[in-house]
Amino acid sequence: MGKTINIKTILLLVAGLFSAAIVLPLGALLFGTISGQASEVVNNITSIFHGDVLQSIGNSLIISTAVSILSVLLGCCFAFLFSKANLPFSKALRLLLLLPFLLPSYVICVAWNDVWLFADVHRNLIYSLPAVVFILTTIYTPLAAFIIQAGLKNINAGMEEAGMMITSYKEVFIKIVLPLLRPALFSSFILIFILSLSEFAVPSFLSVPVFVTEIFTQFSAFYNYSLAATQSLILTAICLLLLFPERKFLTNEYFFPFGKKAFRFRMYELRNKSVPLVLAMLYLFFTVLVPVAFLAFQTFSVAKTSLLDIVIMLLPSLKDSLLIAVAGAFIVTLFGFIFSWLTAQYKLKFLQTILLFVFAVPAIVTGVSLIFFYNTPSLSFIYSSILIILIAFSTRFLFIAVKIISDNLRQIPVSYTEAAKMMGARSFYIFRKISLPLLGEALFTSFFIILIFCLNELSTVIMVYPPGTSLLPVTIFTRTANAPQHIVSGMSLVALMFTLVILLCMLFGKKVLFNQQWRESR
Amino acid sequence: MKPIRYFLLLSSVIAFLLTSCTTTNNEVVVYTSVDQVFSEPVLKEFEKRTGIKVKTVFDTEETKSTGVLNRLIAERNNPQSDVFWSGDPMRADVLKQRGITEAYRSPAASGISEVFIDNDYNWIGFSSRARVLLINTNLVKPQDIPSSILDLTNEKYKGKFTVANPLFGTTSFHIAAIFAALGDEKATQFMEDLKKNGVVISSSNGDVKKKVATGEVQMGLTDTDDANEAVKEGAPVKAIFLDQNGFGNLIVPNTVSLIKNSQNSENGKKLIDFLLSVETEKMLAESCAQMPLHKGVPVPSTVPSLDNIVPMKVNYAEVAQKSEQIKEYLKQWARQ
Repeated sequence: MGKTINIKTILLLVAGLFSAAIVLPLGALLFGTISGQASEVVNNITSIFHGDVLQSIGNSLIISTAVSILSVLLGCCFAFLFSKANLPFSKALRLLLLLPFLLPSYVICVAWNDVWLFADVHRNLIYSLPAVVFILTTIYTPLAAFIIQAGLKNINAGMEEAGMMITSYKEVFIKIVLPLLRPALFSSFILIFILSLSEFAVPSFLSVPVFVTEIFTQFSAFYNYSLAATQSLILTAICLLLLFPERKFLTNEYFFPFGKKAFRFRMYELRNKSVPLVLAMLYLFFTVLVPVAFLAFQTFSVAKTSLLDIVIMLLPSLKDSLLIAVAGAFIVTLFGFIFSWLTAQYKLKFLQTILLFVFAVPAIVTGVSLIFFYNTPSLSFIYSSILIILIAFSTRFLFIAVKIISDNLRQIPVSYTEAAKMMGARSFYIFRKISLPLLGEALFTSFFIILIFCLNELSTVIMVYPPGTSLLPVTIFTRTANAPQHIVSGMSLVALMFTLVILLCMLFGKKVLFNQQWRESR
Repeated sequence: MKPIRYFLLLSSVIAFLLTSCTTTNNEVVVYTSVDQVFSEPVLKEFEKRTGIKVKTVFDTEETKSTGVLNRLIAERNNPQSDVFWSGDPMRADVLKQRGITEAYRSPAASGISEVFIDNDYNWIGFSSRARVLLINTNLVKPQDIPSSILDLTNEKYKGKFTVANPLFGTTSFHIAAIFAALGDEKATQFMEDLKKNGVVISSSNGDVKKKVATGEVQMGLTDTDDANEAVKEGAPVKAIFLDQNGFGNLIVPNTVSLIKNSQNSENGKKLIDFLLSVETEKMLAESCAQMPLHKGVPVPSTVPSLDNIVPMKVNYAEVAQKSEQIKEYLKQWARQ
């Protein structure tokens, strides 16, 4: 018993320290903002009602809403085609769909801009709000498809079959599948809404004023940290508003459902495979292959370009990025797991609200708060090492890891743990022998998603990376300014291939790991 | 392999990562807003010659230099950087005004005109760029090339030219210099006329270069290094120095500053001496067509000489301060 209490205490202590490490910097910055001189605070708050700022908030909301809705709708279609229907080539198509999500958004944006200019699209259309919505939708559709696909896989075939016995599939879809899919739809909507609300690179490049560019301007042109931090609070409040419907409608449902726990899964035979196949291929051709092919065209249109030279040039960044991203994904997943377990044990639901708050703060604000907090003589060992990057990753992505893992933790049937308890097993033993193995796939998924986010994270990292460290997104971004176009495109292609190789290795690893686990369990 | 072994393996990797971040005394930390592609070779050369390890935080005008400048301001009470190498004097002056830099009278600056040196030696200029009008030679006939920046308000250029967002980078410095040269009233009128004439606002100078090179617009204001890159890429472009019969063309020197209370200030001074040397100016002339401020530096034929350009007569510190004053106006102007 003593051992159990000790482990729980240690975990609580570790989680408490870690929470402090990621929450205190932002808390200190924001508290400093609202506890300043009264007149300054009032001025900062009233500045939000300025026409320009209101317009940028409006643009942000329009973009986020449109991108979230479109991504969820498209993601839903793809998820259904890939996981419920016997669509030919679905594995290859799934991989293709994922490509825009594997590249930093500014690379995709520059590629699209070049494609549209090449196609002589009118500039009023290129530098417009719909163009931002289009690009962000292509980037976030894979994420929605990924989450919804997992949701679909979690629907017990028995329910669908029971429905099919008395009515058509259309009715079954509306009355059974959609309600069961609601958490996955809602969670992908929330996640994409927050990500697109915080998106800076695409609207900035296409000259569309949004709230994040307004905040960025206050930072970078006016060095007005207090106003920028106040504006960040507004942005964060908008994101927190999203929690209310989640709390109201999805209190006991899963945010990210992964794994096939004790369910039989039903596939459907498409009557006409060619129409959805052609539509899917058309979508993937126009939204994925065209920009990627254009990058390749730009790279190889110059005879002297050697992809090998670019790889050699980027080698230090590739090495550093891989190691730091793996470390980041590992730590974020590890703490995501500890937080989820503690949340389940002690009903600490407010933890997720705090993490959402941290997640919703714009990346630049996060970066500045980390500098202010950690750049002191006593904490220099953190600030001047890669620990600061790992903290930045945790601040940005711990919410996602906790959501993925905690929802899967709730999916483990209570009967399993209760049976073990009745047999006299201790909590930690139950956790080690039952909860942990059943969470394997969720932990893997969390690691996988966070790794991709860590590999592409730029906005916070560029503010805090230690001198002498070379990270891929920072290197590409800082070289983009004056490197020739074919080199920039080549670097983007290398980054894409690099992420793809990692992705394929992980998928292979997953296959080996989980097949082996399955064999051992037999 | 059992999950616990994967855990141990990953933990080892992380432990290796954490312990690999060691620091040595023989190093210098430099933050630079000069594009990595140009600054890195210079810093590597310094490392090679002196054996002093250079740790760099790169930034670029494409990011509006947000990274390094905000870092330097935020790190004020516990500076991590020893040297700030800026692409223009404005950012150096921002740091000076906030008490982040300190004076260093480098002996290597002896051949550089005092025009390019801060009165208190908080920053010293070297290798300069110039603001130029980049034109697409396929789209603009020789007789239609403007000779003054004020010509851009002419009806015949309506909607055909671009400038980068004037809140950031050398464009903000350029506009501030125009305000200093023309006075607030005339300069404001000029800006309003530009707007009425359909100026296209680009995200950065690099974006200006790209828009002109691809023919998206006919001409745009940018820096000589961007123009030089476009020429090297084979784009049909030409750089024009404006106002050679009027108030002159703006020259934008790089600047270098020593950070106050830095941890390696002696090595920082060595790096500053190196950056201000003839060798560095020669390297930057060859790599990105920057114009040396020392006399007699051998440069490629494609690099213009400052002797052949009528420069805008400006007090760089005053222009930097003017830039701070007009930011709110420029923010509104850029949004209209």
